[in-house]
Parts: sequence; C-alpha cells; structure tokens
Amino acid sequence: MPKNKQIKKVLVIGSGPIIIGQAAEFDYAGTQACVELKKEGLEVVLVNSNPATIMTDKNMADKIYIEPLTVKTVKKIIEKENPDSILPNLGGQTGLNIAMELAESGYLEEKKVKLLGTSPEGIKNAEDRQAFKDMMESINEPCIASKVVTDLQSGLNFAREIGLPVIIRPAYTLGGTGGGIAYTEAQFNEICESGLRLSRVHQVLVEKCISGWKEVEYEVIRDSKGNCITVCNMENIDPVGVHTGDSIVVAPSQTLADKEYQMLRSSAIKIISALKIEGGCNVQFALNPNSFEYAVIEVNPRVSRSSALASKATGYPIAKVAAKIAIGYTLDEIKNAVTGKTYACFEPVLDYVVLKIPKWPFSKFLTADRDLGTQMKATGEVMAIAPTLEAGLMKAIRSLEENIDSLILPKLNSYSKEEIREELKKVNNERIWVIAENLRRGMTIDQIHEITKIDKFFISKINNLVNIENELQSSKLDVNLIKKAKKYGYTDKVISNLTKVSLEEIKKIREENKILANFKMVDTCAAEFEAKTPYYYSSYDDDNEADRKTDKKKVVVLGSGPIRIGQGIEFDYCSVHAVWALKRKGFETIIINNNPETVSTDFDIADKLYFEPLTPEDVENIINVEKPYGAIVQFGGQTAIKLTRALKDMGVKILGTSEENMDRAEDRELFDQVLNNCNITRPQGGTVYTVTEAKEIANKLGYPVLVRPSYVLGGQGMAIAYDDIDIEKLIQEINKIAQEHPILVDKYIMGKEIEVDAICDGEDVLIPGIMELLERTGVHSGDSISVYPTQNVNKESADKIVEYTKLLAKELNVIGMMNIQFILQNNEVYIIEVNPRSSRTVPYISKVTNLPVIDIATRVIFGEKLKDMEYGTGVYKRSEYVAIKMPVFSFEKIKNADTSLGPEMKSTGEVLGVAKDFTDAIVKAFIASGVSIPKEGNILITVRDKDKEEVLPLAKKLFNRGFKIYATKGTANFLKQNGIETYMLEKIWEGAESIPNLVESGKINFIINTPTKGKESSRDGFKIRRLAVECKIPCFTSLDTANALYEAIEDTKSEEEIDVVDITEV
Amino acid sequence: MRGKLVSDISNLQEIIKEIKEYTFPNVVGEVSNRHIREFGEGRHKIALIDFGCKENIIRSLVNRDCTVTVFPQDISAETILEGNFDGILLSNGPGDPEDCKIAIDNIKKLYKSDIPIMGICLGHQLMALATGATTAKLKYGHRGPNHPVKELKTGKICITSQNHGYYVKEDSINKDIAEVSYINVNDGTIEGLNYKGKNIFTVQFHPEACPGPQDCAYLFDEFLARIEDRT
Repeated sequence: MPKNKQIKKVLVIGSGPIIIGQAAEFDYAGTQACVELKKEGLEVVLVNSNPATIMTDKNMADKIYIEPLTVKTVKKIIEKENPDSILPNLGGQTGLNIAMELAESGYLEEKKVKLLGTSPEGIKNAEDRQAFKDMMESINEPCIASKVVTDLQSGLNFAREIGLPVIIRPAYTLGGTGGGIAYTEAQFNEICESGLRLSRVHQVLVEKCISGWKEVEYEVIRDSKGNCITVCNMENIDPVGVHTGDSIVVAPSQTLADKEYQMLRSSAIKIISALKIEGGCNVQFALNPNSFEYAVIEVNPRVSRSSALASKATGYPIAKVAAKIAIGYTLDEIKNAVTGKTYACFEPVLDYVVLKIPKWPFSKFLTADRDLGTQMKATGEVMAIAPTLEAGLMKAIRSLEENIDSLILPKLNSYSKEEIREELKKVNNERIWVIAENLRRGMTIDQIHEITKIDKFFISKINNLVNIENELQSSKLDVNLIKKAKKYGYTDKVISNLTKVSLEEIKKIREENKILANFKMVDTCAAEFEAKTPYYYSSYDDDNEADRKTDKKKVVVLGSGPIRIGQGIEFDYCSVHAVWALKRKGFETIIINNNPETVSTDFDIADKLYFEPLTPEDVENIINVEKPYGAIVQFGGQTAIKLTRALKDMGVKILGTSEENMDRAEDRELFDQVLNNCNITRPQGGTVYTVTEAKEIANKLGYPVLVRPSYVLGGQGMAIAYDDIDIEKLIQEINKIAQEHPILVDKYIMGKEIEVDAICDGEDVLIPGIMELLERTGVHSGDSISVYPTQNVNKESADKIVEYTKLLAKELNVIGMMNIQFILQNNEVYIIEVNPRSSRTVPYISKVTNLPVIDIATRVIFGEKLKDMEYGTGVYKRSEYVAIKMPVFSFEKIKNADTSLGPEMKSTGEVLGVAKDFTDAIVKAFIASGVSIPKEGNILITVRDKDKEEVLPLAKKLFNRGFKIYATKGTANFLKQNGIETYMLEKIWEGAESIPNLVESGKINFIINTPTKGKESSRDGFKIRRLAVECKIPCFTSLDTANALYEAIEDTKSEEEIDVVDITEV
Repeated sequence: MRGKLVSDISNLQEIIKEIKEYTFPNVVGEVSNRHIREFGEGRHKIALIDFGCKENIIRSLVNRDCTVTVFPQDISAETILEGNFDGILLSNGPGDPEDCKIAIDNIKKLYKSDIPIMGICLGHQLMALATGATTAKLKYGHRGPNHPVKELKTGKICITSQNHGYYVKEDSINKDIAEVSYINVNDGTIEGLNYKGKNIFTVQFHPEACPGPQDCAYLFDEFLARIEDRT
C-alpha cells in the first residue's frame, strides 16, 4: 500500500528527559522519524521537553514545542495545531503512555486525530499485563505462570500458590521501575507494595521466577499488510533475572541452534501478528537451556532501546522503516538504504558479532546498591563490533571508559580464593571480571556455570581471553603471539603490561610485520549484495574494506561515548551539528563513537562512521587508514578532550583551540598563570597529592574548602569539606584510583553561579547568552536550575562577566567553543573554571536564542571570522522569552543512592520550560521535570542548624499561604520560636505520625531537607531522602530549589492557562 | 565462479586447469539414496523422489499424517503411477537441472497424471523443464535464510530459506501451462509456479526450512489440502 494521502500533519511525541531506562535511543528514533516524515512532504509538529535532543532542532520539524510531556499540555498543542494524526510509537514509554491516555479517554476521536501505526487495542493488548496474558493464551503461546494483582494480599496468596521466588513487575512503568525478585515473604511484601504504588494503573504482575533460563530478544517489524520480518535476535549473556538493559548482550544469538532460533522467531511473528502491530516491536523470551521449553516474557509495541541497538548492530534502520509503515507504506515498497537496490523486506545477516555492555553510574553513587536485577540501573551503554566475541568483549570494555582495558580488575587481586568464589554469587556490574579472576585462580568452566548459570559458551570465551593473558605473561613475545593477542582484541598497552615489553617495541614489531588493524563494513547482508554504507569496525583480518576514495579533505569528529551522568546527549548534539557544519563546508566527515543509542552513530550522519572504542590506539588505527587533514575534539565532551594529546602525538592537526591552550585551561598551575595574566581573581587554593598536604592548604585557606580531582567531568569525586575529617575521607576516596594529576583544594565561596558559553575566533567573541544558576555555588552546575536570560544580575556584573570572557578567550587563544563558570558574590566576579570545549548548555542556548552555535563555532575553527557573519559579536541580543533548564534525576532507579545535591553531578537529564515570563517558565520546568506544584497541603521541613535562619522566610511564606508545616525537633523548635505554627514530629521513625507513615500515606506534598555532612546511609536525613524518592515525593536539598518552587506555587496560572510556545517562532 | 581450497600454489597452472575442467555430471545420482525407504504411518500415501532430499521435507510430511515412500532419483514414472499414491513430491537437489535427463522424462509422464504434485527447488526446476520451460544460471546464487519472496496472488511477503544457483527463466514459460505464483523481492526472479488445470505447484525456495524461517511451512498444508480435495 503506498502512502496514505489523508495524512498531512503529524504530531510526533518525544520521550522527554534522559532518565535511566529511557535515554538517547529515542532521540535517534525520533530524529529518523521526523526526517522521514518531512521527506514525505508531511507537516511535522513535535513535542518533547528535552532541549538537548537533536529532534528538537529547528530543521527537524515544522513546529517544535519544548513543553512538558503531560496529557494537558499535549492537548493544548493538539488544539493549537490541529494535526490529523499522532505518531506515538517512537517516543518511548512516555510518548506511548500519553498517546494511549488521549486515545482511551476518547479525546482523539473527538478531535478527529488518528493514531498512526498500531491500534490502541493492539497497544493495550501488549502493555496491559492481563490482556497480554489472555491474548498469549488464545494463540497458544506460553507465558510464565503469573497473575495480575491490584492488592498485596492476593499477590501474596498467588506467590504462595506458585512458590517463591517470584518476580514482581509493575504495569506501565519503564525500565521495570519498582520491580524485583522476592525470595522471602518479607521481600515480597516490600517489593509488591512499592510496585503497586509506582504503577500508573496500580497493577503488578506476580510471576514464577525462572532465573537461569536464557534470555533472548527478537526485533520484529510488521506492516499493515501483515508482512513480518525479524531484524535480528539478541542474546543476553546474563540469564533471566537481570533486566535486559543491565545485561551484557550479544547479537546475533550465540548459543541457539537453528531449531531454537526458528522456534522463537516463529513465535515472535505469531505474537506481533496477533497484536496487529504496525511498526517496530520487541519480543523477549526466556528459553530453558535444557529443553525446547520457552516462555514469552514481554512485548514492547514500539521502538525501544533494543531496537536502536539492533539497528546499529545490523545497519537496518528500524525507526525509519517504522515511520514509513505508520504512514501507509509496506515493507516491500521501502528501499534498503544500505544496498540501495534491495528492499526493507528482508532479514539482515551478520558476518561479525556485536556486544553491548551497559554503563552504570556506580562510581557516582558510592552508597548505591550495585546488585543487578529486574530494575534497570544503567544510564547508557557501549557497543562493539568485532569478528570474534572475545575481541568484541575487549573492545566494549575499553569503550566503557572506566580505566579498565581488559578482563583484569586490579582490586580483585587482593581477594582470597574463598572471597573471590563468594563474589561469584553476586550478580553485579563486576561479574565478568569476577568470572575471569576465578578462571585465573583455577575454577573450571563447569563450576562457574553451576554458580552463575551463564552459558558455558560465554564462560569459555572469557577463558580464552584468560589463556591469552597467561600466554603473554609466560611466553616470550614473538610475532605470532602478538598477532594472536591482537586478533583476540588486546591493545598494545595491555600486551605491554602483561609482557613487560615496551609499547614502542610492540608497535615496532607490529609495523615491521604488518600486524595492523583493517576495517570491515557493516552491510546488512554479509556481502551478498554490494553495499554503499560507509559504516566500519576494526579487525585484525586481512583485506581492508574502508578504502573509499575521495578528493575532499577529511576531518575526524570524535564522539562522546556512552551516556553517563555528567556527559550526556548534549555532546552528541554538538558532534552531530559539527558534522553537518563540516559537510556544508565541503569536507569529508568521519565520526568515531561507540554509543549505539545516539544520532551520531546513525550511518546517515557522517560520510564515514567508525564504531570503535575511543582510546588512543583504536583512534590511531583509524587515523592510519584515513590520514585526515585534522581532528575536532571540542565537541565530544571530556572523552574527546582526553584524546587531544594522543592525537597530536600521532601527528594529527588539532582543529580549533590548540592542545597547549587546552592544557592551560585544565592544568591548575598553568591556569593560575592565565588568570594572573588577565588580572582575574579566582577562589584561593592549591594542588595536593596527599592528605597531609591537603589539610595544610585547607587550614591555611580556612574551611569550608572545595576538593576535586583535575581532568574530570561532572564534578566526579568533588565535594565540600568542612573540617580535617572530611578532608581525610575525600582525599582517600579520590586516591583509590591512581591520580595522574594533582587534586585541587580551593576556598569555597558561597555566591551565585553564572555560566557562559562563548564562540571565539581569536579576535572576537560571541556570547549567545549569560545563564544564571538558581542554586548557589556548591551545587554542580549540571544539577542546578539554569535560567536564561539572567534575572538577578546587574549590568555592572554582567559587563564584567563579558569582559572576563573576552580576556580569557584571547589569553587562551580559544578558537571555537568555550564554557566558563563564574561566581558572583557581592558584585565581585570570580572564576570557577574554563572548559575549552562545548558544554551541556549549548543545545538549550542554541534553541532559545535561535543561534546555530555549533555551526558558527565550526566555521570559526576553519578560519571564518565572527565579524563577517550576520550574528555580530559580544553578547547576542537578549531573548524576549525566559528559558529555564531543570535537571531530572533517576534516583528511584538506584537503590541507596544519596539524593542530596552537591558539587558532584547526579542528574541524568534535563527539561526546559520556555515562556514569556520567569514564573510561567519555572512552572513549566517543574511540571516537565515531574514535580507537581501544590497549591495547598503539608510540607515537611528538616534542615541542618546553619540553614535554619535561612529557611525561615520560606517557611513563613508557605505557612501564610495555608500550608501545614511538619518539622523534626530542632527545626520545629526554631520555627515555633519564630512564630510559625509547626507540627513537631517527636519521633522520626516510630508511631502513627512517623515520617514513613506520613510520607507513604501521601500526606506530605514535598520535603525540604538540607543534608548534614557525611555520606553514610545510616543517617536520618539520608533515610528521609530515600523515603521521599521511593514514594515519588519531591525532596529539595537546596533551599534555592525550594525557593524556586515557591515562585511556581505563587503563579496564579494553571498548566492549561500558560501558553505553549513554538520555538521555531522564538 | 569456481574455486578450490589448496595449501600449495606452486603448480598454479595445473590447479587452474583442473578447476576449469571440473564437472560433476551425475551429482544428483551421487546424492540420491539408492534404496526405496518408507517413513511414517499416516493416512496419505506420498511418493517422494529423492534428488538429494532434505530430511525435514520427509518430517514435514510425516508430521502431517503421511506415509512417505522415498524413491531413488531414477525411479521410473510407471512404478510411481502404479503405486497408488495420493501425492508426489519432487525434492530439492544439487547441480544443473538440465543434467537430470532421466528425471525430466519421468516427470513428463507424471505431469500427465492427475495426482497432486509439489516440487521444491530442483524439483521445481525439473517440472519446469519437463513442461518446456528453460533454466539458466544466476550470476550470484540465492543462498541464505533471509530471502524475501512475494506471493503474487496476495501480495504478501515471506522470508525464505534458499540455496540455488539456477533459476527458471520467465520468458520461457508457456502462459497456458503455468503461471508465476511467487517472485523474489530483490531480483524479481521466479520463486514459484502454479500449473494450470493441474494439481501441481512448485517453489524454488525451501518451505521445509531447517535451517531458516518456517514462514512458508503452510505450503505443505496446501499440498495436503489438494490431496484431500481430490479424494
């Protein structure tokens, strides 16, 4: 069936902020969809609250709303725009849920808006636990013994009936929020209760636990004519029990014979045919490893994280095809973009193996529980493509950027044999290293399989790698051994560490004997047809397939690797824009990245895509083959910046700010020199290596001081120390990982933080805007509410900020982007830091100012001058709109993570509120971030002594508006003394009016809690904060955030009354 | 394209000559089982002519309530026609279909009967040759478990397992004798034929899968439905 002519204007719903379980994959899917719909001549209206996305770019859609993803707001947009259809299945669970609510309430029918793709009934049959079970029964597809319950008692009864352990899965939540495995009745009660609370429909599935079975997924596509294909299947190395988003995944499946493969494939097709899916769909199976028994775990009737992975693993663009199916095309009418000759109606074949490893945030959350289960905890993932599973595993490990480049995890060395065996029983992020260590210590593959239930095939692959390690350690390194180690994925550095032969020597042997990396093409068809897609991975086999000739100058853009806290989708936005700008300038663009979720790793973006780890050696292999004119490092976050020196050593020209000047900005002592030259002050401080040195400096400066390692992102390891004891703890923690660079200790200055992004061409500076952070210094800028344009900065200070920016740009000879953070205290301007690269705020500031920031920066890098462009120099004209960037956290996903804000970044994503005035913007930002704004109710205040004075005015205002104030003893006494009627909670954890009771019963609207120092999880404050997270109640740990919420409370307009803003018209 | 795996290329000219002169004149005779064998105890009696038959064809029939008698490739048409069979299956097999002279002559005779016939792969090509069509070699063979074919009657696509180097040429088909039922989505070549006025259909791909997708297993049901209709 060709395109449906009745479709003219389509509303695409995005997935909102990056949170655990919903990351950049939906920007990739949504961007592909928007491009495809526009190509078909349709008018596209887009709504997404996430400003860091590429899909919210001006050229992606005709109308763009960066607005809260709520039913109310989407209705407002529908009424304003009158689209004839909605594309619901590319915006993750968020987009799908909103579309379903609109459809089920009859609203879409009333407004004559059609839901494209799968029908609401189909979606419901897939998403609703009971409906899904009934459907599976009707088509004779086996499910796991399970029952949907809406109350605890019937859940418990059923659990007793089928026997523990059982898995609890809440309905309509993403990433399995609130689910878990219960081995005891006590655990059952705990998990079931929270699951019921978190489910939108107060419904959980209690299910027989089949941990130990294999977990296999199929990515399936079906069109309106009923044609079905499977794009690929994937197998989790971790057996059932670990969320697929937290599993190490291989594609295609490695341990399934044809019989099992086809059995599950046929089942997947039968299921999506029964659901009448139109578009992409994901089916997850559990397979008994000892028989042909299987069970359907779940179906996602939409594109997903797995479909992004499948697209990157095979080269088959699932989201693009799904979008075309939604508007009426059938599979046999859609061309296969890779071959250009064959059609989308085929199944890709892989002549390589793909591995995905999740990226977890545990180094950020030291108190967090690292165990993996049905609740996803990873913020992102890396993918590796290789000829063998072993080499893939080694590449993926490198790509994680965890300072580990092999299966050797140094900390395990000190474990005794018993301890390391015990460790094997834990299912956590270190499992593959623990397996390797056990193999080294003589455990057999069979024994490890007995404990972990991981298929022996995978364990034997790990064993192969351990054997190579042994060989490298025990034999003399010769040509054959190097060749072998390279084929197994070892870098020269690891070989050098194991053999004690120098890096130079190894490299020399390799070069003399031509043991060099070659590149193979990802072509969807295992070379059956000629492919056009320049999408490559490295191997140490013969024959290089990356030999496309070009007359153009080549420029390499380094990507930013996996999504993690502190380095997210913003940098992908910057990399992609840089590639586009380079293409416009006539360069051949080459991108290197390893994140399967992103737009940058879509093979349509750059002229060539290398899917590789971002380490010096892996990058050098590419450089050797491509011999580029130069490389751009300033758009790929800290990942790319870290490679600057290595690139320079390879003889690659660093385009933009020079390596020397980058170093001057990052190196403490050199930077002090820079500031001296510019006559700019910064908080006093110094550099240290040891605790003694740190204490000495701290006492000289006077507490509190800010402690941080140098060359990190997202303030990792950064904290405020109030006394010697804090210093001891912090320095020890930082020094757990060997530091190449000194630790910085600075005087902590409390003030307002200001952030500036600037483009510099060596002569002039263009500042798109000055941003004001609502939280004072001490809270990481990425976790602060950022307001553009500034609301509380006087002209004198603003001028000084601009002047300093210009001085620093000149002094550092910045060519391209820079980002500066300032402190404003009593009209004094201090510098916190200068980042000689693009920053997290670039996407948002580009959108609200309408300045193509990255495009300008890229042109400047190639010698164009700002004064010759039409944007002017100095500060760009102030927008008439206020845009507020609000952080979004994923604390509910990470058990025992401390939620208090500090110098170390914790948020996973961000939303934007755009409005004509500040108050409306802050209302939108809060709503978009998931905080509901109470107009009345109860508030719990519990603050540390030094904040009591400061909380008083806010408490007074809340009280005067009619809020009832609850407080713990100290805070309550203080408030009462100051004339505020306060309800004192005598005992925090006991009695009818204990905090858990109040919070769990939903009586408390929000909590204000400022943390006392220390990170121990036993403290009351910590427990209260976790309680708030578990119960989905906002808990503000900075008084500034609470004050911002008060501004929103005071706004007289409701969500429906605030205008939605099409940012293409800003 | 022909090739040979060698460990020593010192006598390259000789190797090339060997490759060029290489023929396999009776490849079907080599792979076809020389004994008559019987499988299953089902209601329908099927004669299967083994040109190099894949086991799963036999299994697919046995699972559908058939007794399958497997005959060697050079079995006479008379033996089959006198055997009181409900249906005939012409199996897959290797090589150039034009080399199978005896089989083609036999199939000409089977064509004249009204017994339902299903052909798979080589069986499909042999039926075409027996009814006057011609075959040719593909530039690149169709090999693998991922080939899309389109059923022309419904427009529906199936993903099929394929392994063939020859194909039936479309312009050689007499429209009064046969019509194209399936085509390959990628290159448009014939993937199936329906014989007019006859209970005969043949496919170029492998509905028995193994390895590969089971999407077209329904063709065996169709074959049996034809048998049921007749009896």
